[in-house]
Amino acid sequence: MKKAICLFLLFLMPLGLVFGTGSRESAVSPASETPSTRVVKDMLGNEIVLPAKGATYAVFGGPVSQIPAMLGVSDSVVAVTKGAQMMELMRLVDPSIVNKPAPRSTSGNVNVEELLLADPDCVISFDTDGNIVKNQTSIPVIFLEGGDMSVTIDEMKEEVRFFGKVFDAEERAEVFVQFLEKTVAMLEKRLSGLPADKQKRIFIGEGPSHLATLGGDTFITHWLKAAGLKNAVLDIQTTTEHQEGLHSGFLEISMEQVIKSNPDIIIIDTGKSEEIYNSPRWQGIKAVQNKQVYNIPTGIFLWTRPSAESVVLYPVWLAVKAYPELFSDFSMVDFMKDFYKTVFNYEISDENAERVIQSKMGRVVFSQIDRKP
Amino acid sequence: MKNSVRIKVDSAGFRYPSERKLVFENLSFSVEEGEVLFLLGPNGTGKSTLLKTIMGFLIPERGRITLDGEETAKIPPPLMAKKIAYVPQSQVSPFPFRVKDIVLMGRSAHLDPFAMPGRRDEKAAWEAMEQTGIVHLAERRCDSVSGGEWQLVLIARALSQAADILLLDEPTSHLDLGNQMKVLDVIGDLAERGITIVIATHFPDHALLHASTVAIIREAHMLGYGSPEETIKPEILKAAYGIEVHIADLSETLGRKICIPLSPKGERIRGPKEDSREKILIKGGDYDS
Amino acid sequence: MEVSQSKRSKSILLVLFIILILSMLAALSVGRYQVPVKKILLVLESRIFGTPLKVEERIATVILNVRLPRIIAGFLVGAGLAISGAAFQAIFKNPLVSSQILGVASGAGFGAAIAILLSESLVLVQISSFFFGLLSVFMTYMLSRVRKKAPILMLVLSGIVVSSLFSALTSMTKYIADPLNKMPAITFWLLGSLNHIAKKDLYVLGPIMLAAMATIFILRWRINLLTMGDEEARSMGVRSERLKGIIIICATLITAASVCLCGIIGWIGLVIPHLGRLLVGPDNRNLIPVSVLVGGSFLIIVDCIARTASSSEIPIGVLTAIIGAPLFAILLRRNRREL
Repeated sequence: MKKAICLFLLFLMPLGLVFGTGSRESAVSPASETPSTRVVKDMLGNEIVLPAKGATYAVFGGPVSQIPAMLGVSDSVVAVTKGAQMMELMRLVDPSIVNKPAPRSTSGNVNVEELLLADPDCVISFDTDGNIVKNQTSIPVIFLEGGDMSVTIDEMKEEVRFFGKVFDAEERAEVFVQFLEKTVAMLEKRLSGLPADKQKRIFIGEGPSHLATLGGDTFITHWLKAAGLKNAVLDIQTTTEHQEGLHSGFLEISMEQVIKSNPDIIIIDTGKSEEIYNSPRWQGIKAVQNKQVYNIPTGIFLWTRPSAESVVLYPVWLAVKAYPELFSDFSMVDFMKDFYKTVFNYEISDENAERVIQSKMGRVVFSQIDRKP
Repeated sequence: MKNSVRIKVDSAGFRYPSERKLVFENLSFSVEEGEVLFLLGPNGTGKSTLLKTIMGFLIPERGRITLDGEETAKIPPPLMAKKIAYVPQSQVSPFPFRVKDIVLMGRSAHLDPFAMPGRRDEKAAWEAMEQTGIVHLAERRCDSVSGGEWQLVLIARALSQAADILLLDEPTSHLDLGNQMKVLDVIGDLAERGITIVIATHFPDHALLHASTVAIIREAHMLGYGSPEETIKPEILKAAYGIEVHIADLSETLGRKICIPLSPKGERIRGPKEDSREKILIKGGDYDS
Repeated sequence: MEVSQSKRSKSILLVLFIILILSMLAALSVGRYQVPVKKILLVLESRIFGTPLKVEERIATVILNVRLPRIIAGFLVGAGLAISGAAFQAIFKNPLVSSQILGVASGAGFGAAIAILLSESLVLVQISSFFFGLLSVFMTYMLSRVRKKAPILMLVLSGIVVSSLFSALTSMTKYIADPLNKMPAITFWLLGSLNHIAKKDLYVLGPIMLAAMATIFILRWRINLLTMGDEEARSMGVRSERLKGIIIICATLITAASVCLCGIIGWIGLVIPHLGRLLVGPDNRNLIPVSVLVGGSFLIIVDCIARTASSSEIPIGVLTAIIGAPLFAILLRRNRREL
């Protein structure tokens, strides 16, 4: 009997090792600042203590990955997001991103060991990834909120301002907000003469089938509104259901529904517009009859996601495509150069600006294989 | 009139590829038209295997086995099926076909690959069921018939094939007494009709009933071959099965000889002796000592 | 001679045929785009007689280029998978197999995945998926050969090996693919949908599927013989290996074409033959036609639900599982003996 008890206790010992070590929550009492630290409040109200100078960060999230570059604080980011790392223009704007470890591929997929190796002082992320980091490491998490596919333009401003606070670069954040407001005003002015019933209707058709769309409850509705356009499937809600295999916020609808909505312009993200012009399934739709099917550009990140870049450039790009007569004196290339220079402090060449506009700027194909050792 | 030789087994030997021992070796015999050959021998002696090589399922390692002059393993199945029908020791089908549909399957020998059975085939199947006395089972699902009935179904199926040679692999092994006799009767009828029959069986007594020829196989070799009188003898059967048998001639009362196995200890069954102190069993269950 | 059973089977077949036609007509008239029956008839009229269109081009597109191909594909895939399932259950002497047992679906899935990864062309995806579907069954067969024969046990085991291999390769492909675009595309494609059917897909794959289905159909009585086992079938004059080979090739062509058209759809090959057996018994003379009719109607009706139940397209593989699994459970419990 004694022997049995001894053996039993022996078995319990390793459990003690596992549960005993590894500290969890941060202090309950409000964090206090010392001369060498500062306190940051995240979007959930948590307080996180960071070194006053030289803090390092991990940034998890595709669209938000560009914000450090915008704020000029890329050097302090030591772990990045895979998808963002793969963008061609991102690599030009911030070449250092290529060699950084990328523990986070898509939402919910975090390579914890890789993150621990990078050893950032904190992780900036949304709840899914943040909870993974919180549960498995002791790295503090600065939680972002929202950032889903139903953000508004104002929420975009708040998101960038928040990053500005976190990185202590609030002035750069304001530069972006002002540029955004300037752009929205510019669009409003140019479109002021457009009557409501003349507003064109756009259908976003992603995926190889061109049928995965963003509904009326997504960010695209606001982006489109700023561009004087309407979402062709305004009545369809796409953030409520989630279909496996599609990014959240996207839902594949039936071909019939697209035909029913009869959009004036169709935006696709893969394949060529000829496929649609030549397909018997798409005949009779206005966008096909008027040959207005366009590939969506990719810049620093996909414009199909709500990002700082897309909220400024996408509506302009769309408005130019939809109402060329209202933008006859407008140079998209110049506008883009202005944007990248002002906001990202990056001088994009005419050639590359054209490539973005023509949807020829892209990303690398094999994510895993491209990693440098 | 000499009958033509249908099956010829010529110095045949067979071994499963993964085994080293031969299942049977140097067997030679032939089966003539109209002959009824009983294959006897202990369990595992290769009777089933021999039948399968005759059917062409297996290829003999040595020697040749031919049907009408051609090596059986090389005869294309459609041709083979017209000449020989096979009644295996078979498990019931995993699907609950009706008995009449199982019997109908035998008609495939007479149908093109893409054809369906027609009226003629249904008639032939029906006749086969009549012959085996299972017409009352026609609509029954095959998973609801007894072991004995199933054996009769398989025989009916072989009959509907309308071949003139029939190979049966231990057709009476799992049958009760009544069904055993039924099967033997059918075999007797077929023999009378001139069908060539080869049966593998455990029961030497049945051989006495219907065989025209008997082959006894033990440990891969032929122990005896010839007419029932020549082969079903106590010494040969003792060599084959390792037990004593008693052959009684009941030609006057039953019209045939019978063969009865005796217990290994060799006790003989005696008639009652008044002064014997031995325990005997009498009809009625009385004990007298 | 009992005739009532065959009479019963004939009337069941007639009823099922009527159900099939009705479901096709119903499918033609339902959809998110409400089209009044009158207009549907006008569209069909102008198509059949070659007269000019009397309705908007859009409506004609919906009826002729969206719904009609979808219905035809639904029939071909539903009937094809059901007939393949029934035939495989006979060959493998086991009511629990479907045509995916030899790995064709996994192989075709991998073919599609690798093509989505490396190209942007939907045509290439279909060709690749078809090719790899056939290749995987070929590999299963070669792996299972023992002295010129393919014993059933070896086929099943090899099928498991090859299926696992291609599943693993598919996962690998998803892993290295761009997580923002390609990987979701692969996942979504594999889920199955009739949403992408175009007429031209049917021009090539349709005849292949029909020819393969017709072959199995003609051989349906012979297939009964295979259920007795290779040796007994041979004794009845059947060239087992050849017959099995033909059936496997036909079923593989059908299944590969199905995966090509609309991703991986499960449960049909398993459940429909069971339903059929409940209705008309295991004799393939009746079971095969019943499987065709029931399988076709089933998928057409399920597809109607997939495209009208909600504003988004429900992947059809999900629906067949949601409906098929409980249905199968009910069948199992009701007819434990039937199995």
